[in-house]
Amino acid sequence: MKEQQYSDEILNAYVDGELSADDNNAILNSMKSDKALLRRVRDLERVKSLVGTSFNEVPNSNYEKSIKGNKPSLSIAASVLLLLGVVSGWIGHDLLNKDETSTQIVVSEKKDTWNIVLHVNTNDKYIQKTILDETESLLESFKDSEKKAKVEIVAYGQGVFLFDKSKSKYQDRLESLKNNFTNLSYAVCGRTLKRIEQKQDRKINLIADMTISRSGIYQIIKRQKQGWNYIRI
Amino acid sequence: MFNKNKLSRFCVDNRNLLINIAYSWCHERTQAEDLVQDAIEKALKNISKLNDIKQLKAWFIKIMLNCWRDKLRKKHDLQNFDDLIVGEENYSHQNVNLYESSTPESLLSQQQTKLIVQTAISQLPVKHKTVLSLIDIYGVSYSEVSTILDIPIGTVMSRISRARNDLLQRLSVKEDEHKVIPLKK
Repeated sequence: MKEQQYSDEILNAYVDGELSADDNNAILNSMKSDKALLRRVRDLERVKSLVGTSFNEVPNSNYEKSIKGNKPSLSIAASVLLLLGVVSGWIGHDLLNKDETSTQIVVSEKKDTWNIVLHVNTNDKYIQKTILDETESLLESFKDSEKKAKVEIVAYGQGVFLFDKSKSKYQDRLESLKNNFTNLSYAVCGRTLKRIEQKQDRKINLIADMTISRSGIYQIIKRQKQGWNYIRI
Repeated sequence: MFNKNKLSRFCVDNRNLLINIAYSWCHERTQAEDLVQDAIEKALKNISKLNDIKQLKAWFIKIMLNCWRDKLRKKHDLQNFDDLIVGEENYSHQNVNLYESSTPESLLSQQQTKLIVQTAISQLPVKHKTVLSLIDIYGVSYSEVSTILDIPIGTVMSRISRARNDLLQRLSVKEDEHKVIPLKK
């Protein structure tokens, strides 16, 4: 099948998850042999993702200034504080100290809480093992420390299979880690889940006590904006 | 009273999201906050008219959309605002390689990409921008967009398609810039 056989409306409906399973499968099959179609769909997916992530946060005053050239007003500053209050809670005290553009694995010694997010996007068992080893090592190092720590593993892409009960090579270890460390959490990309379930026509059973986020990348960026430190292994 | 509590909860839980959506429409932070505030006030006044609490999400965004339309009508003194462009006057065309932005690090480090995308969206006609924001930011289905905007689903499909095509052109994604990752079997 060629790209021209699918209208733009149908391809967008595919990207938005609005098609039936049969129609989805037909497009998936066509993409295997039609590179132009694949590229077209990927473009649409990326535009959709960019639109979502371009408005996933309320801009601060400097950000606004760079767009509009306006001087930051008191009302903007007050609104920032108000909004920070809404999303703060248990992570709030880190927010005002956050360097928003930093992805360095540098955590200030002065902070009382170290919040760390790691991601897994591969089904490679050796990489998955390394991530779990590092996670355990991090959590162990904080176990007897006065400092508090929170660690979250975010899975997307092929990494989702790490948490799939029927596929995971480390289910027992994941559950054991979760039982031993209450400050450990897992999150999985909802978009990837949906895509895999449609493609494989099966329901994925995740290990217990997981968060399903809108998207994996969104979850990581959200955590970074909340002051978490992102580590890519 | 039950619905009022649900509405309050909804507004608290979704305040950031609602402001982000409003921001994607008007591109001004304070105006976006005002828009959400106006919508909350109107929703609280009219909560008794909401028959099905399951429709709260769509009902609220419809109120917010009407608030924005009212503001546009006052500002631009026109009746049909669907084709209006409420964007940057000094917009300059800039390229974005979408595939460079595929990792969390680059997405975050390239704040400029966000600005370019936001600016490109600001150049879309209102009718395309609203559909795009409802689907890609608010995360509602075509059917819900159809209800919110009172348009047929076919129109939703054509508008989202044109909006994304327009964005692709504005962001100048060229074939030789693609780094297509093949689907894994």
